[in-house]
Amino acid sequence: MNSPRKASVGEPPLLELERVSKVFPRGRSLREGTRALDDISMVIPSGAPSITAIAGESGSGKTTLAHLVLGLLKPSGGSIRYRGDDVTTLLERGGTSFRREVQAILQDPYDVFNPFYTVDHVFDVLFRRFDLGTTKQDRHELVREALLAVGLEPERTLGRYPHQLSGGQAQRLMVARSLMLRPRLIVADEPVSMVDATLRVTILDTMVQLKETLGVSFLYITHDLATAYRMSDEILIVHRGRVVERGTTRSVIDAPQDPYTRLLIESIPEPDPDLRWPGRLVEAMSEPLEPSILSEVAP
Amino acid sequence: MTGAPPLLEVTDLAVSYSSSTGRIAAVNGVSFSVAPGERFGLVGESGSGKSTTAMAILRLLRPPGLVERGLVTLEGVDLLAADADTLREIRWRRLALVPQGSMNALNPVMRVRDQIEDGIVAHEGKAERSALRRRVTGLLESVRLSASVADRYPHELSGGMRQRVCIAMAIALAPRLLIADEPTSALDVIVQRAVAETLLDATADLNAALVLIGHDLALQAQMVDRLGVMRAGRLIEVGPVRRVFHTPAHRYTRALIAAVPSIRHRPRLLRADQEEPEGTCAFGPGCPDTGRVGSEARPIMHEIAPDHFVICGLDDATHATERLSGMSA
Repeated sequence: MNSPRKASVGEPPLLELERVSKVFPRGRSLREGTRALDDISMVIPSGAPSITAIAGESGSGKTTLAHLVLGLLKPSGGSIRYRGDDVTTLLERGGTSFRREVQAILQDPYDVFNPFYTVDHVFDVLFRRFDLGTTKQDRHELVREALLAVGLEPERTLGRYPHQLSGGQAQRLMVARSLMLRPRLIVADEPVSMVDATLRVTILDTMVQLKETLGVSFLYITHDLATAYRMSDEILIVHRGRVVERGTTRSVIDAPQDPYTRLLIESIPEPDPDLRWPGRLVEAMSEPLEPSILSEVAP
Repeated sequence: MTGAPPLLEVTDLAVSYSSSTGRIAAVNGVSFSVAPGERFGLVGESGSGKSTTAMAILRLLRPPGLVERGLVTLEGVDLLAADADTLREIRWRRLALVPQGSMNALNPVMRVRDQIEDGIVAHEGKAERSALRRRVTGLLESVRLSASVADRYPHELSGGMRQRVCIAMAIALAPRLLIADEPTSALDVIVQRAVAETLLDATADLNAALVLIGHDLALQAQMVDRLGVMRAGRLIEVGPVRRVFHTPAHRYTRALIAAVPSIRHRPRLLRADQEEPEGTCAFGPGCPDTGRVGSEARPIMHEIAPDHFVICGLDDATHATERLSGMSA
């Protein structure tokens, strides 16, 4: 499949968000609407592949961000560019290469399957929609290759019905499907939140391997800072539609500067009975926090 | 399993669900006990039988679920044999549930106050209105909710506040044991911590014991004294929480712990060839199960250190074969 890509001078970023906002109108009024995202700027460089995590709690706007990048929603302000071209414009002109190169992995893997067809159907649809492989043999080989790349055995996967796959297998199948299109960017929106812990690691590790061997970059959207710590290079912490802190994942999580980020990190339960939460949360809050968080924690 | 006589004792509990193809064992010979005031965790992935175990103890199992065998006693009272009157007497007063997903657990058309008062009156009989009011306020205070919450409907509260109301209801009659089934799993991490701390404080104030059912090992590490690990209907390892985390004996426990991501260290990727092979016995060649055959072939727990028990890592079929070959050798 793809070989790792090398940076070339002057190439525009893979993905660039410039002062993006999204307001969901209430009735006809934008002004009174819900501001889901506010003034978000970020860059995923082309060249060396990377994993960028967008981490936030419910209501932070992280899923809205994923939908904007995938072109499922249009921004209310600012612009989103994929390899230098405005995504909205790209899609208005058909956007075939964008649709191929930017793939999505979503929270519920079973959502994508039709329960009445075997899982092969997912690949058949792909062949119908995109120009992939010329002969039946070619196509079969492509499917096999993609399944093996995500650690699934073709013989034990093809011909099965969705309900015969575990959540982890179904999710890896979706990754395999994306891979066949040789994507440059995969937007993964909470890809493991519905999967058991022991399978979770294999899916996340598969993503890291794909970055390293096939040069795919990831936008990893999650509420789970611990998995972001495990796999992402860069991280943006979002809270109520704004980026409150950003940087390399290590620097942000090891030494958070923003009070919200700090509280978030301190609250993550550590899987070690010798490292229990220090004291009670209410006493732990040394810095003034927004009343909205305070009302939840100590109403 | 410490000095004090146990508060809750579960012995060889087995539960099955009937399906079109026959009966499927959901819980298969589970035994453990909980001491007064102790916090005991039951952890496992989906389908491990942890919630079914809790429902069986609470006598909340619904058809097609059926208790096949076993004994469950709370302060000496046989819960599985208890009639409706005895159960009514025990629930809330001695044994209470903090449910999973609090939206379904609360009555959406009743104010918080009325739900709590109803429960108290149903168990203790009519009481003076002002006394009831004071008790509701006190209960809400003990879960760090303001008194004004009493006059709200469940939909007017956030997820974290609703879960606190559920805790307030569970402790209303000062039970000896709380069973909490994934009490914080739907909550964001900061609120989760706040609610978990409230649950710990509320249990400690009552000197009640807690059985925490959940899939989240990290949360168990934060909250319990002793931990039991379930897999495929069996309890495979039980021990003091520090021992289970620091020196896990069963291969599955090790895999489960290794699978929990941490923000304190970044492990190298786990490759398939580094995983321990399936079918490794926790004891190796000296397995105490070797040689047990026939009706005795059901795996039993062995104490490998004080209070630390583990089942042999082999499944039943392999077990039987190994034992037979062990005998012929």
